[in-house]
Amino acid sequence: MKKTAAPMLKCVVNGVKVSRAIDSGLTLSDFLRGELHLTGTKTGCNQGECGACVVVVDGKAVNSCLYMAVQANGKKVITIEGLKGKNGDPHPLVQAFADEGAVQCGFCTPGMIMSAYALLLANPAPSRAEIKQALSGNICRCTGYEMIFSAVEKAAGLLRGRGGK
Amino acid sequence: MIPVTVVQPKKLSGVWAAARAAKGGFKFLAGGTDLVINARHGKNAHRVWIDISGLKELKGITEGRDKIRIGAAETAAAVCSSPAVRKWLPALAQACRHFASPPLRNMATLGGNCANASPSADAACALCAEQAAAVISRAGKIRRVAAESLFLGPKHTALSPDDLILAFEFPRRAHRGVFIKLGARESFAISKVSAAVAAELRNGVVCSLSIRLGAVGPKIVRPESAEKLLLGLRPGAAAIADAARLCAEAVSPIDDVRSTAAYRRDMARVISKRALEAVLLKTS
Repeated sequence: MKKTAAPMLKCVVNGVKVSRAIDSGLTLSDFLRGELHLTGTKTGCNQGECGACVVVVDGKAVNSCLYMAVQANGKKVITIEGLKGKNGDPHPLVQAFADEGAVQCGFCTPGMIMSAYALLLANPAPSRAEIKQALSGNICRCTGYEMIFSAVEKAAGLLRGRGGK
Repeated sequence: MIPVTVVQPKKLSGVWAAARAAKGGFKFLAGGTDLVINARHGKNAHRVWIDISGLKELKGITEGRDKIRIGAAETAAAVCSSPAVRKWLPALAQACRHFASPPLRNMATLGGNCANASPSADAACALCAEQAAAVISRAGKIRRVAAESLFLGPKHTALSPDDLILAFEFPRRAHRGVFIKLGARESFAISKVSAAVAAELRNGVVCSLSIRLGAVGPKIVRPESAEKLLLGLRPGAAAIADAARLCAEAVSPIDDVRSTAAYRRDMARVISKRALEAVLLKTS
């Protein structure tokens, strides 16, 4: 097949405008990790089962391993690297995960935090059941789920205390 | 990296030009949640994917005077959070709420769930129970067919490669509906058995009823004898139990990684009974 010109990907990643020619066969996880060197996003199963690759696109959690990079055209992408607290502090979700012992090997953590971030954007005061539901596409093989749910509850409280964000 | 060129027409009219230009054949890319996985497993015969996920002609959920229309590129998450779908298409709303996982529901589309034609596709099962018509375009020529008629067998549809599902349309009718699935876990599990039921009752009498069962045959199963048994009745527990037995007789399940044929057949009875009880015995 005739090779056509590489398409342009124009999007905003973690608040920074990105505009570059890419191979359209790249998934968003390939692009974030391989091209932008944002390696906080993990690829585990590469088939949408484990949730390690979850990032937030236009406010919604997606599996970046199955999302073609060009589909992010014109959209806002947030990865774990984009979560920042005030005055250089860690983001409340990141802090709460550390405080609650919600991190064991750490491989699932970025995906867990991004799924939780999307949940809190839509629902700032989720019940424990809603937290479990929102994280049901993220697998932790160290199986520390209870601490993870507690961390999300705690972060939700911290974020409400400072008026969202 | 996936060995494919993704093209992104800006408008629906650009899709047909892209299709003509793709000499070696092409696939439509919507949510990608099946297509990308298949490609990673080497099951991608096409070197061109035409991305239709952003086309506004395939978006929107609208409530008309006599029908509800859902754009085929609407995601499962958008469908189950739509007030119009919750009000008018309860079985479909429930199917989309229990489908896959939260991030996959933000990607996977109604059109893709249908075109992929898995016999265990939850949304496709509910589409059939809700009497969906698929609005299909081939090179701009539009036709409407019953969504159910698209399914021919596992992963096999009546769609030709250049048929694009634009939307699904449903009669706007007040009715009761439910979708129940049985998987290995409560969340994020492909159905071993699923049931979608939609019914209209007048003074307690069943005046229309559709029952569809997923993951228990090569395509979505319609247990017509069970529908006929209940139609015109004011059903009680005994009639529902009889209908559920007829549902189990109508299925032709297989043994596979998720379950056994014998278990699926028995659970087809149990799940059908629960679904029929939820729809026909509730008092409100």
